[in-house]
Amino acid sequence: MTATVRIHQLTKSFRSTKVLRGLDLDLEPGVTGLLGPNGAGKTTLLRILATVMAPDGGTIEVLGHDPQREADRVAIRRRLGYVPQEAGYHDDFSAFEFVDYLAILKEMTDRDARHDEVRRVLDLVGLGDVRHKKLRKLSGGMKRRVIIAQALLGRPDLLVLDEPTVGLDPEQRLRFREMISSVGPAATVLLSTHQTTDISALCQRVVVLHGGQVRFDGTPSDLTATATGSVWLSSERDPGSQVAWVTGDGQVRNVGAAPAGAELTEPTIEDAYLLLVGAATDESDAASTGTESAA
Amino acid sequence: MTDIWHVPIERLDRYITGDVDDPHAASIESHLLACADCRATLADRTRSDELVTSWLALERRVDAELRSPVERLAVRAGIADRHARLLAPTAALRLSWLLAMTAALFCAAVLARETSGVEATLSRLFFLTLAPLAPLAAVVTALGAGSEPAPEIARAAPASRLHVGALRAMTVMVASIAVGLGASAILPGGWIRAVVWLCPALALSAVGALVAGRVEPAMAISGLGIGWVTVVVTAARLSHDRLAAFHARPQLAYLVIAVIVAATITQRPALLELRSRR
Repeated sequence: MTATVRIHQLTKSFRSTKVLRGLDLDLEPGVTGLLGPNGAGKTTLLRILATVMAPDGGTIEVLGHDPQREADRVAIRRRLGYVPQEAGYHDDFSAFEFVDYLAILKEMTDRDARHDEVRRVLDLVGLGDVRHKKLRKLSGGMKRRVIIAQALLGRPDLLVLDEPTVGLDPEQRLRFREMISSVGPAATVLLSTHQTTDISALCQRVVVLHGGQVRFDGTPSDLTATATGSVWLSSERDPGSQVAWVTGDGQVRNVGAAPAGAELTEPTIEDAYLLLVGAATDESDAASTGTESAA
Repeated sequence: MTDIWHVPIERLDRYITGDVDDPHAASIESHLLACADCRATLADRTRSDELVTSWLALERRVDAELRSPVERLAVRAGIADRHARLLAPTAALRLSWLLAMTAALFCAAVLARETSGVEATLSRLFFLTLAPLAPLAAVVTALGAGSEPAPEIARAAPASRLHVGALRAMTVMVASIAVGLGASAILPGGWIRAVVWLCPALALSAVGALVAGRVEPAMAISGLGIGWVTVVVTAARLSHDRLAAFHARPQLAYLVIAVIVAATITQRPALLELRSRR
């Protein structure tokens, strides 16, 4: 398959902090999940892809266009759906009016066709019946779904989703997976998340970003396999473990270089992620990410 | 419930296609409520694609209804409904904003009308100094931070920020200048003397548009507002004429500033969207 996104040696700094350090990544149609601790550069990468931020260096090609050029940016935006981390709302708008407003910004000029499309995407996220309720009266999860709905307007070829499942309850997250699956195999979807379960349920490919570079790139099962032999159970926290926590049944789950004679257990994608990130970072960072994704 | 009379098939068909007048439709509907046989006939004779079409038409009508006062007003003023929706989040078009602006300008104008002698000149000066601040504040809030309800998504949308910004800035300017002209009509002493605030208003709004993307709106409005008051006071002090800032030569200067800034923005639209490419 041909790459729809090509990124080569991408760099971006904020003041003295280097967020992206020569990042290389190609994307193809299908769903790719982006994992990484806070500050790994996920949002920066997604914002550059969504043409709202300019990189400092490197080359980038999105859907055959160069986002560094104004005319190309517009061409990319016409085929892009974007769920930012912090979207912003106009609370006086109803869900319908808000999505319609964004559809107008997406240059959908014919009113009936636009309204039909707005209804379609709101139905897709299960908000068709409450579409005339004001945004201020909707719950956080519902508002998040409104933002997801607008990204699906016009059946985009590239979907850039920055933590789209934050604020969604388990049932809504399931629905979200259905929705993404319905986008079709021709679309390129890149989504960042802290939920490793989303990755294994949804993504054909997972990319782990850490310190502004790609640390892993493969299938979710490849990622899980990297932790084989590195996860074991014990009655107390093993000093040799990188990360350890008490599970529901009172046992301690250790991730790291297993000592001889350890009671090895089947790794999950989360274990593999923690092992990978833990190997490259200080322990406090890994532990905090661990609690977050375990929650 | 059994009914001896049933709606004739031919009339039922006309009801389905919408070819009966309201009183007949109402009569058929009240009969349908009571008669299961006719309901069944109706269901048999209604094609599912017709149902879909009429349902879609109904949904389209409900969805096309404009609910916000700003949008309704804008459409009534001849603005296309999709442009009206882009105007809806604009703070300077809200009823509260418009009322506050109207109250301030009309009070100042009434004050200038009801006073005489030195006080009349002072209150006229107050009105003429105040009037250009209304479009300035409106333009800056229409273009500055917070003017876009979903800024991150809007930046990733293909619509030109310049067009959206220009639409909003022009609309709020027209609205605030219209209110200002309404208040000017109250002022005594001829209309030319009453509208000498227009050129300063254009210059201040143009400069306001330029700085809106760089400075917080409150800072931009107060900074330019203080600058403008300083110009008025300084001109009055230097020439011993309280209305010196509104004479012909300064007017020309305001106009030149307005034209130069407007031309610069048109030539380099990126100046307006500094915030967009952080």
